Amino acid sequence: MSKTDKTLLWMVLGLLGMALFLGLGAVWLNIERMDLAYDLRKMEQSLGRKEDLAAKLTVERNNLVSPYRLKKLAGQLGLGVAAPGQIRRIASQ
Amino acid sequence: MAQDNTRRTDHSGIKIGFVTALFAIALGALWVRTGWVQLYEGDALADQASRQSRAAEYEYGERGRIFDRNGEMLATSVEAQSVFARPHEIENIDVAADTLSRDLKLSRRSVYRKLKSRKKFVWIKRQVSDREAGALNRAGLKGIRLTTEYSRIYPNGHLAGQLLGFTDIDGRGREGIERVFNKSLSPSKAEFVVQRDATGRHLYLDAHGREMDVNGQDVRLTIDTHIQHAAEQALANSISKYEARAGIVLVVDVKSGDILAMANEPFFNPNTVRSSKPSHRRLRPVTDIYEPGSTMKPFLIAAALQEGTVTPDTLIDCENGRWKVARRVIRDTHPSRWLPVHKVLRYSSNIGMAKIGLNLGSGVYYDYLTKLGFGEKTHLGLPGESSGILRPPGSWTSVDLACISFGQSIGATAVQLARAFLCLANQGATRDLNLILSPRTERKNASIQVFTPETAATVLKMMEEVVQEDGTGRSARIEGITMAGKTGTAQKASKNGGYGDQYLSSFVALVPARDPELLVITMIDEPQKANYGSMVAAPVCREVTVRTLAYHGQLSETLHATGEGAPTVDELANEPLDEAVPAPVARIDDGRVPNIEGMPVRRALETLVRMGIVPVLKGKGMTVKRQEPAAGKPWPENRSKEGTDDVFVLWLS
Repeated sequence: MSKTDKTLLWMVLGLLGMALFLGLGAVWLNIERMDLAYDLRKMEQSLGRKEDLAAKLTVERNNLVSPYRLKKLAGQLGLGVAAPGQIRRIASQ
Repeated sequence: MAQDNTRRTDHSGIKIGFVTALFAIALGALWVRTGWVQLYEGDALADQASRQSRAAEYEYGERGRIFDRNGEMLATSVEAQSVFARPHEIENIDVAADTLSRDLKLSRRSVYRKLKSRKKFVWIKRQVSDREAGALNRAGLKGIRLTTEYSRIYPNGHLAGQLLGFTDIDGRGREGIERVFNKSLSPSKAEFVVQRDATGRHLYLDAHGREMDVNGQDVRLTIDTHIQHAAEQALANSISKYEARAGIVLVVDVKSGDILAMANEPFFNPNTVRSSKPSHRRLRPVTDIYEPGSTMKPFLIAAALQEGTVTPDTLIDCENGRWKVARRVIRDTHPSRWLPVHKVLRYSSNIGMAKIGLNLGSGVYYDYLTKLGFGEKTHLGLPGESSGILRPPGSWTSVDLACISFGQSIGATAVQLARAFLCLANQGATRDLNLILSPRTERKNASIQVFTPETAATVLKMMEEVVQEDGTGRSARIEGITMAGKTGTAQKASKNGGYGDQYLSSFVALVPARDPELLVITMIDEPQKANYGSMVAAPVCREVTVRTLAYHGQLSETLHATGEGAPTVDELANEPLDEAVPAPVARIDDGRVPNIEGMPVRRALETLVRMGIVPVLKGKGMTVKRQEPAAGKPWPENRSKEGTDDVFVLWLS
């Protein structure tokens, strides 16, 4: 086998190896992409659930700090609206 | 043998050629097929493949929220599950009907009827609770499915219920702000492509189509929930006390024209629309027309002063409380003979006002009323707004003019009245009322100078006498703050014609009297136990004003002075402390001095003053660093209680 033929053979083998490597790489990337797509979907759903929960908790918070409830609680603790003469604004000397 | 061999024809070449041709044909056919598939059918096949592995997905946004001026949430949407059935997929209708009626608290009969339907899709119950949805999920009934929808929630219940309005089950605004801003509040829909695996599960493909905001736009009102609550509470108490039919309270920030509270009684809770009466859903300050009565008098005085037909000291003969115009007798509740104009307003003399009105003339007064906005909408943008009733002056008789002079024979809504008083408070120039902070609505700025600032100030001074002197509005007086006010007790027209025995009690307050910052209007419709605005409406105005000022920290520190600026801590020691609400008190245990180190100076002062000692303050700061006598020492009972002696010294830091 001449030297040129040998070089050609190595080049062909190299190209085949590279093609195999690239092919396997493409398959691996595709699998990774699919995994990522599944994960993203799960995270999207989880985010949706959490956003929903956050919205419900915000409603609950607003319920808890609604003026009607605060007044009721204040009444139980003996607190009320300041009357004239009960407010003090103190300026620094 | 050799001859046989030479005789036999060599066909190998043909055979090889034949095989080669076969292979060539096969290969050629493959190439042709490949070319056909790739080039001719390529697009269609790629499309088919794409349809198999990709799917369209929709994302529905949520309806915009409604906030108050401080960002407190008034309306929002939360995800809720709705239950529907595909009747043809149900295996056992009896079991399904039992489960659904039990878990969703529905009548079995109606559920059974729905499940027997021949339709492909039937709603069973919409917007169920999380608990109900969980129970159905656990039951796993075939043919019964859950889908996500948004339900509208109003976290503050009936607070500003009529103003907010409500949405129907499909999320469309039907009343109030929900209806006015339905278009901007409504969510949109996004459509995007996702990948689908062999089992049909959807996967994330890319962000394409997800960039758009599908949620509805939020709306921010000028309402303040705390002031709204104060207004509603005060109104509810008064209505309950006087057994009234309905009531209105409006609180307006004079400097901006922002409506801080718009309270209606009876209340309406938009969370429970179905159980409410239509009359409860009405936004009375905007829709209902009332004859305002005496609260209209300041406008006539202002017009007469502006036209120069009277001065504050012009004497008017008030006929000892009984005067006949044409065939109609006008009466006063506080009979007098000669009263100067400012006292005509102070004692709310109908006769005096009728004479001022007749002297001014119908055409002139009509012009002023139209400039103040009576007879036309305020353009707040709320549905069902009334224009009020203001007949053209050509149709006014002398009796009409006399009646209009003291606020009868004219119809106005509460917001019209608020806009007119805003003009007086704004140095005689009109100013629009605002209800929406965002999105900003385009409104033409057409401020008119109706009265000169001097005239407006004179009228406010007269209105101040109504409250601060011996006028009809004394019951609204707030210690330490000047208030300009006007009471109103208007007879209501009866269904049978003429005036009946029912009244509208009202009160208008402007605080402080000079250069007002706050406008409060109260109207109590058909109170039964008392009629006078001074008894029924003025205390409501007072309570709302006190609570609003307390909320803004603007209540006077003293009961008598109205001095500006904050006092120093030394000055505080001499101020009396009111005891409406008992402040936390450090106890004297066995006559010993309590430990007040570390307390805020205000608390320490209150504590010691309550125990009868005014301490001497040394140093600067807000917290007590050291005390003399020390905690636990005997209480200095028998020594001077004045702060001049070093009976009790606090060092501040």
